[in-house]
Amino acid sequence: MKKSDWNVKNGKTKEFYSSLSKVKSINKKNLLRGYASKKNFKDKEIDNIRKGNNLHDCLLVGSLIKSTGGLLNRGPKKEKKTSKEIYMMTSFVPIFWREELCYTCGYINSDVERAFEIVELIKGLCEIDYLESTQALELIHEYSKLYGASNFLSYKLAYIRSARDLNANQLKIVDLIEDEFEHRDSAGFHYSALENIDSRISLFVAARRRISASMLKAKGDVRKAISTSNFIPTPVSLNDISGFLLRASESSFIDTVYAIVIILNLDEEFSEVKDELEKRLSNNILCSIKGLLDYTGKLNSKDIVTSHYSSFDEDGDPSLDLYRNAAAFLERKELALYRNRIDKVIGVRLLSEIKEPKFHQSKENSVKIEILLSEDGSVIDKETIVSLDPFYRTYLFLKLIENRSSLLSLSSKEISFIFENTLRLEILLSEEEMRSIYFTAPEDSKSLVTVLALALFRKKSVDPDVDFEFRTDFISHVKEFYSGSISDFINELLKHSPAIASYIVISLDEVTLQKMYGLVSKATEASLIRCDILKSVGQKMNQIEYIIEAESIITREKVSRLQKYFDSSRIYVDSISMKNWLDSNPTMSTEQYRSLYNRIEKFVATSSTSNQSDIDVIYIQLIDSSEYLIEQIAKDAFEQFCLNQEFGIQSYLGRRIRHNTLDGVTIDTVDAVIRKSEHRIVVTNQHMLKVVNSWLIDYKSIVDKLRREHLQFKSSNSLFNAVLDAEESVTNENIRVLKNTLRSTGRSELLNDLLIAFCWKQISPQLENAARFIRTNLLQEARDSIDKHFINCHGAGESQMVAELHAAVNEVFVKVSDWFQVPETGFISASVKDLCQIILIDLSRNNNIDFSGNAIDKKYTGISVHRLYDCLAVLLQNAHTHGKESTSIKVNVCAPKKALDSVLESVTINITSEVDDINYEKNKMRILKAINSEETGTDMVTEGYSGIKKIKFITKVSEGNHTMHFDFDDLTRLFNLSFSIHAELVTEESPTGATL
Amino acid sequence: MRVLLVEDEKHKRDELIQCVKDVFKCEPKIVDSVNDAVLTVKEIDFDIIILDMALSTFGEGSEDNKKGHDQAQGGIEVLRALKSFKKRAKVMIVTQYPDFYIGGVKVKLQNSTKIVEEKYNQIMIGAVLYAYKSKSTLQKIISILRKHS
Repeated sequence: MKKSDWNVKNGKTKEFYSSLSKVKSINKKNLLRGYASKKNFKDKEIDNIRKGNNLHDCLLVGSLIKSTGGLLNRGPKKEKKTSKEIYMMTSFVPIFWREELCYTCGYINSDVERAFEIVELIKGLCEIDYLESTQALELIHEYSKLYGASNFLSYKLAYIRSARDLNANQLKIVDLIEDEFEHRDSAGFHYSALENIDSRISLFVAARRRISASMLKAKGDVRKAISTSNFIPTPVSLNDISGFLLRASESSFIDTVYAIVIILNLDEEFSEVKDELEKRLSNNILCSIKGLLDYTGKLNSKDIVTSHYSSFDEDGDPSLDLYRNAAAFLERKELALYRNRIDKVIGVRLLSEIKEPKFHQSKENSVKIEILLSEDGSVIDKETIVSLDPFYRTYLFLKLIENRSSLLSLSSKEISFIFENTLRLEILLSEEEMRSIYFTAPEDSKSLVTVLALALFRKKSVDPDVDFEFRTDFISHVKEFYSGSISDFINELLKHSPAIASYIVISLDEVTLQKMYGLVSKATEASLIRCDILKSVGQKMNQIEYIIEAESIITREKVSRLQKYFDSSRIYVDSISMKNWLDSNPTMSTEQYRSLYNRIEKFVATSSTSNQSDIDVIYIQLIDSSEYLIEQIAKDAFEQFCLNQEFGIQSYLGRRIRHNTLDGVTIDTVDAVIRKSEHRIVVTNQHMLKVVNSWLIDYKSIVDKLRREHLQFKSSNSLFNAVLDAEESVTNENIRVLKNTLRSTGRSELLNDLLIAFCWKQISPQLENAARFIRTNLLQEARDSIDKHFINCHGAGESQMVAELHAAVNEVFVKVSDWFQVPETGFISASVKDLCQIILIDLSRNNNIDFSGNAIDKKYTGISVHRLYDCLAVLLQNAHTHGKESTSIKVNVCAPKKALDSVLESVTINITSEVDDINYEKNKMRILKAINSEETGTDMVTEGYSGIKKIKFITKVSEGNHTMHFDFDDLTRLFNLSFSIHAELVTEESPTGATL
Repeated sequence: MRVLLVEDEKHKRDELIQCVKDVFKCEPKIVDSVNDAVLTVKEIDFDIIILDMALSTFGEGSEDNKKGHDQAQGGIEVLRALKSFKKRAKVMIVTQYPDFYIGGVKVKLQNSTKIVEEKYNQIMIGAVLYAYKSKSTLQKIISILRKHS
């Protein structure tokens, strides 16, 4: 467009008015004329233009609204989109698919030249899997310089990032592309593509995260947000075409053209749409796209999944890997078809909580049961580009049960086979399907189905009534066949169907076990059963993670004995639950950070560039990227810390309010004054009684306001805010400390521990503010209220009662404010000495222990206390069992001066004991062997997760490498065993857990 | 008259016990947790059940002194149990929340009786929004109980 064409009238181009004159509807033409000079539009105004048009006008409206110089795209410059602009909910209402298609075509036809450029761009990147990484990234960078952000480019970049092992120089180009995307202003946009492709993030976990984040805003439309729409990157039905196209046209011009490319690749599925497209899209553009499709149709699609990609997901299924990677190559027909076929079954189910998918029951079953029941690796048919594996079998099974009667033909053995050789059914099955399976399943597979059903309700909690029914059946089953022993039931089930283990672990968590009324009589029993289950599953699956989780339950119980004092009225976040949650729900930022950190380490270790300044620049850039990610991670974690329904502060506040503590404290105290026998005479006076009652109403309204407004996160008058403002000075400082601490540890293993500490520090000012507000403002309000109501009460008895009411409200608000003053973190704080003492009680040893070292009495907190406990327990047990009788055990605890601004300290513990003469050599060899062995997680399952190997494992997990050392003196027969660990310090200013 | 009171909050429980005594001249059977309530309704048939909504899974007297999971809709578990055991009783919900969730759907307390009747096949005699030390609340509870004495 020439500059002279611009600004003809009201900032609109000649083309704008030329198109406007062609609109046939007089009303619409007038409306558009009126809007031509308008600067800002409400969504409803744009909706009014978009809806109710004939197809001819739809084409023109698409151009008038969306073209360069159109109503929503002002200015002569061609659009260069930013992440922030794309990462927004579409605010317009989708129109009928044919109209939406015309609208979209009108938009594309408005700039034929640019459409050609985009087709060329797609062609340029369609073989990115064949390009060398630097070349591929440079190409994306060139395009991003021209067009800014787009979902298409974001996917191509995500593909390269997850498919290749990028070096520091290549990561530098990634940074440049991100700059062109203005990624840091809205990181969620590019992360959406990354989480859909990257094998380090579970697709199922990512979907659940996104659903919970956009459930309410999406209003039943998965296409509104790009983050949910990306889970289904192809249109799944004719009804979906409108939303699919609108999402694309609201994203960018590139994405709009790409959406047409995708639809044309699915021409057999959407033949009506294709016919309409051929009528409406400029012939030149259509020819150009068809030329592109002729080219891409010939490309080999099987090799887009690289070995680097698969290495992060060793147990991953090739069909799932291809499904995820295909999202970046939908210009290739074969991949578009493959993706679309699975999107219609799996994709829609992933987002079923936002929009319930409709499946049409066909009489004819397209899935052959014999294929479904074939072994992994079997060829499916000529058209299918993958061979059978659990993910593809899952797809086939879900497709099969679209016709419910198919279930009747499955035998008990076949149902077991399917459950054991499919994945994530607890997420993918609907409640109705689960019930159908349950009712039609043969009797001997009922227990298997029940476990799966319970898993489904843990994940989805669709209808708690049905969950109750399944639990009731489970209870009867276990009572009838296993004498009420859940552990026996699990062991039996695992014996015959070991692969069902993953469902058992999900379904029988501690909360569900507690709700097995009649089978489980106390909370501790539920914990122990959970422990047994985890151990059984760990043994069966040969996975140490389950054993570790089981051990952590025991450790939690033991360490909790330190909790001599625990004021449950104070604010409480279950930090252990939060740690578990963070571990199992990593965000894209977390994964990015971890991978970047590994790369920084690798870069520093292997950098061989001769130019030191180049190294420094790249290093600084990598650090800069990692620090920006920490900010993102902290934001996500803090939101969970406040709002998570399981452990967040909000749930604590809810409990406090529900359980009457607030009312109990506030009302009881003043009521006690009014009911005092000495005030009885005062209150019998009718006037005084009226005043008292009137004041009580006012007082209760103050309390009610506290409950309804100030203690609710989402209220405008809330005392709390779950959103981090990184610009704010305290937050900025806390993030700086977090970054420094992470840098001082030199690893990312302790990230989640440190995040919890960060959250406590971050919430402190809010808690202090809440405490202050209650102690001053609310108290003052209550006092003023007394003064106002009792203004004419000057009798001796009356004055006395008023004075006591003043004292009572003072007591009330000081007490309530105290809840917010010294928070409990849910972690126990303890010194090494404290921990040793509770271990020694277990060992029935209470003397001959010498403590020394500069850190013997230092208090530590967080999950590090559990780690310290576990390691100390092993060493003290060893020293006690193998030590010479009547000799003392020496425990030395040392910590160097901690790094500035770090909340962590590296503590080293030495335990020295004298070993008895007879067993000295044998024990020495045993320990040396354990220290020098190189066991894997699997070895630990078979050989036992205990002893020195356990310490090696624990310290390796937290420190990167194990820190266990063994010294001995053959002359004195002294053993010295030591380990070091980064432990979180209890500091004066930081809120801590219960301390001894 | 066999009355069951399912309530874990001491002050509220004392007030409700007094209401039962005033109306029926008898002591109600008291349980303070979902677990105890479910097992009790399984064993014993009650004429009237006064039910709180927010309850812990285990009660004060549990052997390990742990109350377990806090069930915001614990009262609904008791209704599910009644239905599951094919038992029917007159039920009065007494809660401090103006709305709660039934089958995952938010329901206003005043509309809850009809829904509970249909869903859990119980005879709902009332749903009272409880306020501590409120005469009108107690009068309302007593009045409902009297109608069914």
